[in-house]
Amino acid sequence: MKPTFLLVLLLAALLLGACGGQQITEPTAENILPVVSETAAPATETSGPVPVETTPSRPPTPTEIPAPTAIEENVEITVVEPTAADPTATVEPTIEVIEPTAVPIISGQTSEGAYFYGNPDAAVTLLDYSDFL
Amino acid sequence: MLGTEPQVIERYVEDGRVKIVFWPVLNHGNPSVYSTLAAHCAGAQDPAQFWQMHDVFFENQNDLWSATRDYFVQTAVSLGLDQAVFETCYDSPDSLAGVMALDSIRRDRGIFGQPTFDANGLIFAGALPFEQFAAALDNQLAEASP
Repeated sequence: MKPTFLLVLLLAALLLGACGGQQITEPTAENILPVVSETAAPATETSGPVPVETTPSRPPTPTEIPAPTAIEENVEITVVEPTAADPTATVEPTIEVIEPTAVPIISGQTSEGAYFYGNPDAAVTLLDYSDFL
Repeated sequence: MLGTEPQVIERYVEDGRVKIVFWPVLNHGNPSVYSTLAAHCAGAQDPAQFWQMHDVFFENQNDLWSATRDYFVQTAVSLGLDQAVFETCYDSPDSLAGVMALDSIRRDRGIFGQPTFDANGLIFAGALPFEQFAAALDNQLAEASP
């Protein structure tokens, strides 16, 4: 009867080991099966490298539009229309500088030998017939 | 003309419309002749110096009646003129002949009194006030303009 008892005891130990050894583990990233979404691309039969799904990059931050600079007042903008003859031609402004006419005021002698003072080409000649006395 | 000359110069000469010609009238003998000769010899070195001596003589008119050669030489030196050049001119018969020739031309033109003025043919005599000078010059300038 002793061997039978030992056999029963062995079976009981096996049963306990089989039932009581299962461990409940918390779900982790490693033990969760991947969920295949319906929109996922179908798996190909080729055994190439698994494509790495990358997260879409962050849309670029919109650059700030610079605030319009202050427009100076009293600035007149003239739109120059291209001419019909040459639509690409630009019209250069013409700046005309008017120099004051220089009138020579000089001292000199007439052809007869008298002394004069003023513009040799003056419109009017004033003859001063005089004596120092 | 010295009295009104600055006004005439300021209004009419400096803007180039009028030029003044000093024409000698030798009505007072040697004092007239040699003072004019001295002024011309100053102008021979520099025409502007003629007008400098012209002003000095009008401002010291009374001195001219008894002025000697030395007086004119000293006046020339005081204006910065070359004394030797001035003396050579003053002593030259040609210089004297030039002055006398101008006086001869004046008589040929029928000018005998002084002062007498001729503005483009408009002749007026006497020491007139500036307003009459201005009226005559304005009239002649209007006629001369195209």
